[in-house]
Amino acid sequence: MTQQPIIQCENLIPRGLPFEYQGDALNFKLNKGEVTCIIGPNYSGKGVWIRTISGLEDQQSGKLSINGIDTQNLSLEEWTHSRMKVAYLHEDTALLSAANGLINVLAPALYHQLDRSSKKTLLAEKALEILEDIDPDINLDDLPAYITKDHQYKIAIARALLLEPDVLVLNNPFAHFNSDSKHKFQAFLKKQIDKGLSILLVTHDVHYALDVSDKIIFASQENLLQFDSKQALLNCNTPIVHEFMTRPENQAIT
Amino acid sequence: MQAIEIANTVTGWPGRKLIRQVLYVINLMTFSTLALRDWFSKNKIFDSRSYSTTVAQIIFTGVDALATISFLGLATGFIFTFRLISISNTYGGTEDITNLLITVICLSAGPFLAAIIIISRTGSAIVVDLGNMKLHGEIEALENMGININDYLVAPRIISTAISQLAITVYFTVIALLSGILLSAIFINPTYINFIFKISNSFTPYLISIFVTKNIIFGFVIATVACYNGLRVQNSATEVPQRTTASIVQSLSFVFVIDALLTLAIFY
Repeated sequence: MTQQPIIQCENLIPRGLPFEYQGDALNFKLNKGEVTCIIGPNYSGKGVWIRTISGLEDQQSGKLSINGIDTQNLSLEEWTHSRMKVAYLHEDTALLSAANGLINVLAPALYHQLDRSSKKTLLAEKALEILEDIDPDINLDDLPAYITKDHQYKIAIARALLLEPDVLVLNNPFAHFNSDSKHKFQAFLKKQIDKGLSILLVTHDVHYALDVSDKIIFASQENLLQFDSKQALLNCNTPIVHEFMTRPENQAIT
Repeated sequence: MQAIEIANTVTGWPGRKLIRQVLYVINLMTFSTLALRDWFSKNKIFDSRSYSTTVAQIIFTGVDALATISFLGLATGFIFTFRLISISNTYGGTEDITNLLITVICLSAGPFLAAIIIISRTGSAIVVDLGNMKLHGEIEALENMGININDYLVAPRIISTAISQLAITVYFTVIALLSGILLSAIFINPTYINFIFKISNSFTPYLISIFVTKNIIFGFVIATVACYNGLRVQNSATEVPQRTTASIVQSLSFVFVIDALLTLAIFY
């Protein structure tokens, strides 16, 4: 039996692009355990594309399904479930300013009553396990205002993972990391992928995108191109892709 | 032509203003109805997903305010209860004094002063809290995780503020009456201590229902106005104090109007 894709886009064009888009619509499937990266030049609407693909923004045309359910007419229950299963985080995803690190991780899971299926103490243990895995040095007793940006982001990731999502949607996830902590965080993501988590991300780190992706989406103001492999992208002769990939910061790959 | 335009502008202004106010009240009613609908559809009274938010709000609004309420209750006891008893002593019998104390302290001054404390303390805190949460993207982050803001943030604040308003007024009224009656017994006539029993005997179920209804409506309206204004903050930090001021002014206006309407409904 074929597995149902977690996210499926059919002829999708976002509504919120800040420019007139006349390129191709997106036809795309994200399956369990797959990684898809969206790359492209600045101001190409990558953020709008990823928000629309994850069901947070309306589409101008086309159809978006999450776990087989069309997102156009979701009931409140379906909306809640889809938001738990498709965990979206952007670089500055905010934590609850009045709660410490651990409460921030636990609060959404408690709201969704995940402690009913396990016990509250088990939920806390699971949260601590994820946090230990992501970074053992995070200070969980402090309020977010006293926590560094990269640790805040890791807490937000742990908070999302505690909800047991099918896909982690990350918009520019490495913005607050230095080189060392970025590599550690990327290793953590790799472990999650190996466990079967799907990842959809927008990143400026083209090296990382090409290393981990099963599919790559190249977004520009003119068009949207999909590649099934790193080699297919590197072999592409479309001028804008070629120009982007031969930029100094991306050249080491070619 | 110009004169007609000026006349239209002058006569049109109160009409437009009235329509705006009516629409605002409809907005508030819709807002609170949706919040409570979402809360009741997902929660049971004593088994709520937002239990901790509700308890925290009750502690902030009710328990943390006890010192202020006690002080104001004692001051009201001295300024109103004691003065009313001493003045009424000259003109009326004990029956009149009892009715006067119930009407003035229990049904008017108590709920009204408690409402003013809640507006200035809890109402403003709710606007700043929700406004800053909106401004810093905390609300967006919660919604992105499937958390219903009505259920998680708005309804608990409305429910707990209504409960706290009632509890605070009971506490405030008891202190205001007891302190005033004790002072009167000490300084005017020791038999005035009997007012404690007379008042408790005169507090009929009808008066209790008025007392409870009035306080719950006050608390409900104050929290609704505060939540509504807090969530109207958009992008700028300057909107937070603006919305806070607006919330305080609107809550005070609503409390005055509701108090007047309820008084009319009760006594006529």
